[in-house]
Amino acid sequence: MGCDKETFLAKKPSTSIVQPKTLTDFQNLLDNTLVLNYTGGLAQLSADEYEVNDEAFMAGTETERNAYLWQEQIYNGDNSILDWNRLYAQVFYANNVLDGLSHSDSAATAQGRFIKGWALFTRAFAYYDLAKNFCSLYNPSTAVNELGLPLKLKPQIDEILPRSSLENTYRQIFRDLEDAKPLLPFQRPNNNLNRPSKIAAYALLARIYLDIRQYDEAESAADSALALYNKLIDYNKVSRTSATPFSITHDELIYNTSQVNTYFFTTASAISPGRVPDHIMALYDENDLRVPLYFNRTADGTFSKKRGYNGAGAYAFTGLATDELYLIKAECLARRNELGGAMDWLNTLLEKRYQNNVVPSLTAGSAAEALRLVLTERQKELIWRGLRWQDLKRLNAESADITLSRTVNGQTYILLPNSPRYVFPIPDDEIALSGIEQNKR
Amino acid sequence: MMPACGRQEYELLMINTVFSSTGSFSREPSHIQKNTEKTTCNSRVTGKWGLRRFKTTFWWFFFAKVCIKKYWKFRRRYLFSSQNVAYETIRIGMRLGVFKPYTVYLITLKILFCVCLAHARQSSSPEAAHGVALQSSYLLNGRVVSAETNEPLDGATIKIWKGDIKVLTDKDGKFRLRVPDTGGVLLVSYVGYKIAEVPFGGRDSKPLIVQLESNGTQLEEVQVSTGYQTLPKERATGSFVQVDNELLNRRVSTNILDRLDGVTSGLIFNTNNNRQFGQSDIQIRGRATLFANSDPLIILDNFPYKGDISNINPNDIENITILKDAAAASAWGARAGNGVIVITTKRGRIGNKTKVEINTNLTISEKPDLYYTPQLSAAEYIEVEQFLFNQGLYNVAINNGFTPLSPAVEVFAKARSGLIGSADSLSSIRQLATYDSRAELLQHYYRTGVNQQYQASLSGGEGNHSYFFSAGYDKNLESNVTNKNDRITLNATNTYYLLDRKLEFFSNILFTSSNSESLPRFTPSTPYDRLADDAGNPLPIARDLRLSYADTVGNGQLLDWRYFPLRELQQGYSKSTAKHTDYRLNTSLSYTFLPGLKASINYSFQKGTTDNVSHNELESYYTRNRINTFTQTDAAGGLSYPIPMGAIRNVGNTRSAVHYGRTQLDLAKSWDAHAINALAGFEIRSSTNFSNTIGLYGYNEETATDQNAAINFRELYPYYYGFNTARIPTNTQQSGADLRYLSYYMNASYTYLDRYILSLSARKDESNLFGVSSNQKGVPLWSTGLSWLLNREPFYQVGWMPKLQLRVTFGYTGNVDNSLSALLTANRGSGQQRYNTYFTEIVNPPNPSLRWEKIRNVNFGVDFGLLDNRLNGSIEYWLKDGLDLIGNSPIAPQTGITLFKGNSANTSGHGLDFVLNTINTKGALRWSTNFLYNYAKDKVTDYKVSNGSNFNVVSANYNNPLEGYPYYALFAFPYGGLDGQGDPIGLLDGNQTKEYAAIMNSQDRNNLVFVGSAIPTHFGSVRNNFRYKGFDLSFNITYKLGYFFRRPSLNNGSIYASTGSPAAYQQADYNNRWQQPGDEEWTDVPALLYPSNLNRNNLYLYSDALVEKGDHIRLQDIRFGYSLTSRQQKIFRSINFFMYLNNIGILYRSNSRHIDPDYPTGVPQAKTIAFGLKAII
Repeated sequence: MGCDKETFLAKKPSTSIVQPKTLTDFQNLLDNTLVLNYTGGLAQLSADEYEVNDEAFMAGTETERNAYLWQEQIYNGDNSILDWNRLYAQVFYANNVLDGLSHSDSAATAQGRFIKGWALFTRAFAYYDLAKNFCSLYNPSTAVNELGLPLKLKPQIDEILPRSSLENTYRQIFRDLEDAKPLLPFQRPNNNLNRPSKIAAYALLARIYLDIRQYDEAESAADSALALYNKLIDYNKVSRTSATPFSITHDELIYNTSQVNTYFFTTASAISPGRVPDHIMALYDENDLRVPLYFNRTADGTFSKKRGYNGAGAYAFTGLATDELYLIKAECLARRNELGGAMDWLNTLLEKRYQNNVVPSLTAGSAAEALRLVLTERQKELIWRGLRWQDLKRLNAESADITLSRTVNGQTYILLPNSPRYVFPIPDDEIALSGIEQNKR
Repeated sequence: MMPACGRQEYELLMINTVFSSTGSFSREPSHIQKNTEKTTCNSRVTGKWGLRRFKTTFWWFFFAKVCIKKYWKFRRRYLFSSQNVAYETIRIGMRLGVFKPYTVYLITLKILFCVCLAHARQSSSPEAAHGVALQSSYLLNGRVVSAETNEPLDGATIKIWKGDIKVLTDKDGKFRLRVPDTGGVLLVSYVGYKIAEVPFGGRDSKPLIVQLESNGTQLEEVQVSTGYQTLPKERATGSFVQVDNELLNRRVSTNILDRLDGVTSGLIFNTNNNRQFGQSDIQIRGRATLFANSDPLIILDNFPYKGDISNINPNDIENITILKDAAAASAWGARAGNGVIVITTKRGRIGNKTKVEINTNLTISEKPDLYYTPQLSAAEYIEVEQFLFNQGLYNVAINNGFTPLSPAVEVFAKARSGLIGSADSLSSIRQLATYDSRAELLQHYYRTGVNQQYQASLSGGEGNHSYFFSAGYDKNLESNVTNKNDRITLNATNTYYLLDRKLEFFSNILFTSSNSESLPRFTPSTPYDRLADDAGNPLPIARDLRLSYADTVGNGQLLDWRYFPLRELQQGYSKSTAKHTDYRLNTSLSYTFLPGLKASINYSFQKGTTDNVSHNELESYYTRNRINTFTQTDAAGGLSYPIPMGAIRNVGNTRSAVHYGRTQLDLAKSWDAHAINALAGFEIRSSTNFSNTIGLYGYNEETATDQNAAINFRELYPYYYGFNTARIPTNTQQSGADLRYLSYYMNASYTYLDRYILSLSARKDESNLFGVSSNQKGVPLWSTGLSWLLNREPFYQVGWMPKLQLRVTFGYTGNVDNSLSALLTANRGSGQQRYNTYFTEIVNPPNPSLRWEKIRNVNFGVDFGLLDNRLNGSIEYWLKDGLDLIGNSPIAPQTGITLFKGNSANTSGHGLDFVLNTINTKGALRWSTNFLYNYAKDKVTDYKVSNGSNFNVVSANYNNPLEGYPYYALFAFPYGGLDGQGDPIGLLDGNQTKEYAAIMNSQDRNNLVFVGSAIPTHFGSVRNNFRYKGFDLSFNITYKLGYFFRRPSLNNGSIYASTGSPAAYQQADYNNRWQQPGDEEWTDVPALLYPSNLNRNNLYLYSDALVEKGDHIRLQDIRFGYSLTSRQQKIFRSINFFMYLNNIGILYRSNSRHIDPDYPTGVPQAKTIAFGLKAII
């Protein structure tokens, strides 16, 4: 009876439920793009890549309106802030997989190693995104004394952590990425770009090093990524009339994430209220194919954003792509005075961006000019990719002195360079429930 | 007096024994044994005699021991002497090896025992009691029947006047009793009937037929059923409520459970509209779980009923027993925490003539009162739209050209762009303001609802077979014209008694087939939506697209994209049908080995299938919209249609099967003053269901073919309009569940002297709860109870209160939450994965300490009957503590989840159930009253996880229960009225403030007001019944007191939402809002702000200014009937006509706003009137 009873009661109660134990189970968890392949949206909401008119402003949510105007308090009763919650959910998924792998016999197999690398990469990606939104810009000399993130490395939900130092936060991000690197495959997963590869690990490293202004490391990481994969797509071959010009498997993509699907202000669709400011539109040349591919001329002559690199998604693509690597490489070269090299990389990219036969050939006479050219192209190429806010922080830290200003209902609001308001407040429910320290804005 | 009497007897017995043990042991035993058997079969010994016999037996054994000792002494001393013949015989026997010393002892014991029993039989017989010789008695045969129905009464008590012997009647009402030759008087009693005094004659009298007359107290229960056993209510220690057949039939309904509403002690019905989060529609004795299922367990005959209870025809039901406390419900263990409802179907009885019963009724219901819900008039809503238009809220929608706009906004837009003049626009607007969508709905979508019910049954029993067959048909046309359904039920119950009635075979087959049909409903998005023009032609309404866009788009290459709700309704283009078939086979085989020892095997199998078909013809809006949406334009402007032209049919099947097996041993034994009633058993259950949905595109009904093969479901298609891109939905899904349970249980009650009852029960349940390690899969639960029938004590001399019984029980029941697991579990992901691969989502974080919920029950009960039982009833006080309850609470999002579910809470509840039945007048006019009062209160005593902000507590208290407060507590923000700008003022730390965010996020509960319970704490009913000759009239008044509800008011957020919906215009207090300085003197409704401020809005909506007392008294129903008996007409044995009015109205409500507290939102249930007839042939 005993044995039969065990068998009788061992049947699982529902067909759809699993208790993740096998490598495939872990992979299915990591394939959950509805949780994992997202980044925060506050940076896009506050960045200077778009504006909304007064009417649209008034129809916005508390968070949209307050983040748009860089107010001190931004949530004002809005709950479930995905910028924080979903990113920590990603950490939770990754930690569960890592914990499960540590009890698995097949962790050492090729698939097991890949999944471990995938989980580590996911965790690093999430912590980096959280750090850039909710912590001040990393500075090696002060980071030890600055507030980082609660660093959850175990799946236990009864463990509530205080904020670590910013130094430890970044150390963790780099450790996870370094650990992930050897485990990830060389090949780009062409049909499953929600999964990382070595290319993605290097590309993310390049992005982070650039962000924290360690340009040598950024360049070397970009080199490594580009050595593995450097395809660009020719915009001449992309439909200019389509509302979704880019597919989610196109050749430039390395790793697909998008902004969390909230904040209507930042949507790229016909009914989106967001408009591209005139001064940004003025940066584009008339032969620049990015205008018809990136933007949509509305009835009143203004431009709204078309869907971008994440295909059908209405929110900004924030993942990794080769065009960003070209720009990182060019910037790093310019910064170490390699003018020719910098312009070569830039021109290689632009060749694919302009109409055939009218491609400009940029040259720079000085490092400063080279840098200026690269940064302008960076702003034009990577518009609405969730990167601008971080660039503003980084460039202002180098005395770029960019002041943002917005006018709503006749009143003008400004955001000064290096303002503490570049760091977003941690959501109120997190503060209330865990008692961690809030950012000063 | 007893001890003295006893002593005399002991002496006498000793003398007898010496005689029999020495002289006549060789022939006496067999004869005595025979008599003994008869004794135990035919008569039950009353307490006094039993005790005496017990003492006698003791003395006999003592005496035997002395004898043996003496013998050994004797043997040692006079081994070789032969003075005593008897001892010499033994000595010789021993020498020959025939007798061993212990054999001698055993024989002696046996002899003594037989003698003792024989003596007991003599002494317990009435003759002995009166000093009459044994020879002068005879066996009297008789039968007890009900005077009204002539049906046999099973278990009636027959007692000789001034005697001590009692016997009970068997299933056929028959009894046999040894009575003195001299004749005498029998007292015949049966619960619910008057005691009859029946004289009997001397030897050879004819068998007696005793007809008992009902004493009219219908509520006095006879037998209660737990689903495992049936026992006399007075023998039960637990809390049972029985609703008998007459009470069940008082109300007219398609659903059996509806008939318990307002007539059942301890039960409260919650309407949909005032139901709290997770609250069951029927609640028994408060709530003792937080998030697990709170529905009571429903048993049909012996087994839980799986499936829709509305499959059961109420006319097939004999009675319903509600099990409220642990002792009553513990038999059902871990699923009994919310109480158990045991439904018993009708059966035939052996010896009854074939009876044909016909039931039919017709219920007519009013159209619902759509004007009950406050809403903005057309003119007012247009005013709001005008304001929002001026603010530019609709500009994005107007400019993109396809987003739907309301008719008024269309006019404003046209006027602004100069397409129409101001005079035209003004007259258009004025015209719109005259429409009322409610009138349109009432005209086109509602009708007088008509429900018809027919049932006929045949029952009876002869020889070894009894039966009940019935067939029923229900046809319901709901007051919503889109819905109708019908139901056929067949029921066949057979019982066979074989092998001298030792083997009983019971089978019951229930078959239900029901069909329902529904058409798409329509929800107006403005208060002035118009469905048809003056000539009655259907009008289009903007639903997914702007009308002007839908009119012109596609240049005729697309299907008509306009939405005509009335045409959809009239033509039935989209139709959903559900066909439900349910079989239930219930069998049992029981064999009585020995009198009182019965073994049984029960098996039940239930199979249900539901076939849902939602068919959308090509002409339907559903199909046209989907085909158009996915239509693609190529570079040359040509169109292609990824969805084939043709109907879209979504087919869903659900199949469920339940196997339930049980083996059980029942023991019912009584001897002397003792009675034991015990059962033990093992149960196994498996319940599976599988559902499967398929979407068929391009469906051809005639050939039953689809064109799914032509569709590319992987491709992302841009919508024809706008910027959306999507895959064509497959509408295909499968899922299954398999729940398994094993249970072991025992239940025993011991009755001593017919007045002390002790009950014990224990049960262990195990199930395949996913991921819980084996040792936690099971939960052992137990209960115990005591009952004391005080009125049977010799010292009880309270003549005016002939019935007084005290009961107390203690024990545990449980609750299962199948959704949780101790280990990390993941579910198939919902939604679309970006690269179309399979993925899973975490549904349950690891929780190693997960345990089953337990509920500790204590029940104290007093049953009483006063003044010749004209006043009877019961008072029960109960305590119900939930332990290790699974609670939900917000948790810091850094953990990766935002809500934690685990064993985190304890609750404590207590209450009172009071039942009083009175017979106010007897005689020609008979007036009786049934009064029910219930009190139920609970509070959360322990909540281990921290709660959220005050806003969480106020708006979603169920997720954030606070220690020391009821689970359904109503908290509110203290409200300081309005300031000079029409802004609401809140209170924070005792100071008036407009820091709304601080008020919402505060975690200091002192900044909140605890208003009270959100569910009634006092409730019950008063039912008066009148009977005069053939007429009967009864009406039921129900009341719910001691609770609060939050009334809806002006919601700034939803009234200024950009899309029209009922939430936008169904608003109260629009005219009471602050509009200009000074208004704050008379109103609390804040000024409308654009854009609305979430926290400011919430402060008002969750303030104590909007809390109302829920207390109300309702005239629930009236029933009027007229019965003709067979004396008045010849065709029927009896015939009864009735009229029944339901949902009559509120007599008293404490709120002055004319809000029905059962319906703070939505529309109250419409009044119904039913006419019916019940005839017995």
